[in-house]
Amino acid sequence: MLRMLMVRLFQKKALLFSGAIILIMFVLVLFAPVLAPHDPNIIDIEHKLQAPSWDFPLGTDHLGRCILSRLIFGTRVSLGTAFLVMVVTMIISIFIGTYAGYKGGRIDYLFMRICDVLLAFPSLFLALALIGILGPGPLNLFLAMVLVQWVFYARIIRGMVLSVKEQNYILAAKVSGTPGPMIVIRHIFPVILSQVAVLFFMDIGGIILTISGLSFLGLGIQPPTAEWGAMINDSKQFFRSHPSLMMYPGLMILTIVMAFNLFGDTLRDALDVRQD
Amino acid sequence: MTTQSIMTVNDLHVHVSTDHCQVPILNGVSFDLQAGKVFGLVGESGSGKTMTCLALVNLLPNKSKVVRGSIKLKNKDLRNLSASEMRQIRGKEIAMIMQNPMSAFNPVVTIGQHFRETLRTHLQVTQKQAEEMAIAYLELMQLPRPDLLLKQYPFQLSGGMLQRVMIAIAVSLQPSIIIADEPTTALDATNQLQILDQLNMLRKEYNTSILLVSHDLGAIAYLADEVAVMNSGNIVERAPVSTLFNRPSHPYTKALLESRLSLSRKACETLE
Amino acid sequence: MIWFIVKRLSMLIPILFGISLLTFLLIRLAPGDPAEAYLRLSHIPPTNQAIQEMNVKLGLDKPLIVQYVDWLGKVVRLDFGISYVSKQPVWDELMLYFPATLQLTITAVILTVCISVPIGIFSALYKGGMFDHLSRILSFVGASMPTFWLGFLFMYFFSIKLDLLPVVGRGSLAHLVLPSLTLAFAYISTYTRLLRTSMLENLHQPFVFYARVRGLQERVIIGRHVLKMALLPVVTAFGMTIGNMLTGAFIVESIFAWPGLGRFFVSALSHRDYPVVQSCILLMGVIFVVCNLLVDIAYGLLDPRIRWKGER
Repeated sequence: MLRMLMVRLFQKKALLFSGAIILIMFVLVLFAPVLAPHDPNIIDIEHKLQAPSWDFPLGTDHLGRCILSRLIFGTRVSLGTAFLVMVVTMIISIFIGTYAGYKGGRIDYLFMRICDVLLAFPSLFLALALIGILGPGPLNLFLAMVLVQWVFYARIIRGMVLSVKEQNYILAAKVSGTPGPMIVIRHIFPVILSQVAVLFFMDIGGIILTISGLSFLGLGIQPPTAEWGAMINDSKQFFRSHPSLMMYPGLMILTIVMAFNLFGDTLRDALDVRQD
Repeated sequence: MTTQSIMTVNDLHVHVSTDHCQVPILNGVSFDLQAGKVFGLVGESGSGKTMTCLALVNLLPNKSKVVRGSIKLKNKDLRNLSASEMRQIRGKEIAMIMQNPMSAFNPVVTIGQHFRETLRTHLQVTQKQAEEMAIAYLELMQLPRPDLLLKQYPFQLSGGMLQRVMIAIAVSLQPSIIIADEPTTALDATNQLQILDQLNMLRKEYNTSILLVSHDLGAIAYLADEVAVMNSGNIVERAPVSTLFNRPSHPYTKALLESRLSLSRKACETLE
Repeated sequence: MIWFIVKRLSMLIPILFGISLLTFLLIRLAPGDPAEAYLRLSHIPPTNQAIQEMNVKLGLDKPLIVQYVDWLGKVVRLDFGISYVSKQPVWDELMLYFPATLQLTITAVILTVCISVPIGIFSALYKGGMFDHLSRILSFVGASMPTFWLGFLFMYFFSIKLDLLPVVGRGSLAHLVLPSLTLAFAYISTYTRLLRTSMLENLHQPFVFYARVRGLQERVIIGRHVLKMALLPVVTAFGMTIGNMLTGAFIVESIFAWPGLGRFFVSALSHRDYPVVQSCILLMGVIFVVCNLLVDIAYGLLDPRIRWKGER
């Protein structure tokens, strides 16, 4: 069964292609200090806004920092933050969603009312407002993203649990006296985890976009940390004379988001999980 | 009354193309439909009844097509018509009543809209005239409050009512042929008889030819004048209804009839 | 239908209440003291005594619940307080900036509908053809494109290289083109894909076959029967989108120096201008909820099954 699935997954060229890009990005994340030709934060005003050369393959920015090195280190920040946000959000959502869905009753009612209110705001706006109120910075960015995102996924997971709960094999397990937590771990988690994995890959591209967007507005990752959205913000003022400064980080975001979206879509089709 | 042939189907072959090869699903089906008569088509599911109907209106699913044979409607071969000529024949000359009335209607479009659009596609009438015609035909089908009915949506009606609306729409253009593909299967018993009675009334009144497709032998026996038995894409036996039921000649027909009889007798024995 | 609308409206009340409560509490999350922020913005040295006096003046010394009720009472009368920065009534300021954001968003919505609906329909009808492949690739790229980057790309090519359109600012119709297109781009991609999928799902429904059986023209079948059904999920998604689109407008505004609510809001955040921040959050919540209500009503108009559910 698992083997069949692996075969089916490997037959998808799109999955291999996007997987390869994601893998390359992870190599960049892990080996950034080795791969980057320079320290991304060394300022050298004398060599600012240089054209590509052997020493600086993609040139330098307005403070004379190596663009290539900043792009490579930016992978760490963007991917790292996005993954952290998504993983923590998913863990919280799985717990709360499963609990509300499985227990039902008053807890579930309370949970749904919280959803009503939190989902009454556009998620992007709520993140923006939260981070603005808490103050800019990586930790607050992370907090704001998790606080905004968890409701959405917890509600989806609650829905999944509700539909699994009605299955006959769960009923059979209950009748034969399996304790509640055991049913959840043995019978419910395995079913919803694959769907959660698909959700994870389908939406992480969007998270990367949101994080870089907030950083672009100056609310997320703060300079001088190399982050793609912040890099675009930095190069704003030079973009008439040096448009390439803006091109590279944008292309990086586009590439990684496309890779994740393609990966997620293909994975969903292969596993035939429907998201509504 | 001399019988007048409306449609002649001769040696009809339909193939479905798969990735590897062509699979025949109709192998030389021939019959003719006569004005004012009901022609029954029986057989188990998958025997090609529905495919035959679809071939007559040129609405076969993708990848399947007529490879040989002729379908003549009043001496006009339907296979030679263009797509738009064929479209004008559908509904106007050959109407069809579908198997499941609950899903045949568009759930977000009113009954009136369904009715009017059909009339106005084929006749030069105003909305107002179309509405009046619709009311008249719904009354003919003994549906209560036709004016109100037209404003309603399909989900507000029962299956039996929808089926009668569908018949009313089919009849309103006074077609030469009505194809009724399992018209009673999705309905409960009380509605079934009523629908069959109404079909019977219509063919007498308008001299329409009806092609009645069913796996329900009771319905066929009730309404049909002539019956053809289909099995795996062939018509294995064709005879007047009384002959077929009383003296079936083909082994498959016998088996088909016996499966029904033995069932009812067994049921009687266990009851007693 | 009226019953349906009344029911929806009554569901609105607890949600609006929740929004107001959340908005009020959100501000308390902020590090630092509003009184201190006020003094700093008024260039008054924040001595302990000054802060004490300010707390009394702003009503911050009262219990939280009293503060909330006071605030809510004023908000209901459209009194959003006075901006710490400009010392103007917040409502007046909001109404100064909001129309620009609204103009941008509505133009983007119109662009989204006018572009994605025809493309979605044609992709579905000619599935697997050249046009379909092209539109799928484009919409895939579009959905992965960072809005802020796309804005600069547009600006670079159309305004600077080709000199066709103004670079930044608001004014003529030409000023509107790039910002609204930037904002709409991702949504055009999303909705093209959504409508395509939804069309494909409906193209093989029995009601389409029945329409063919009745000899209807293909034009009527697609335009009336399939499209009406295919639009239902699109309308639902639209309710969710509209709020994010308004927020997306904030980002677009900062690229094109569009004098809208976004820039006002972001600068209020950095100044810790609490009444403005609070009012913006409340406004967005209310707009979003009202938009969703309108979408629900539109859905009810399109789908009679929803409308009649409560009446029987």
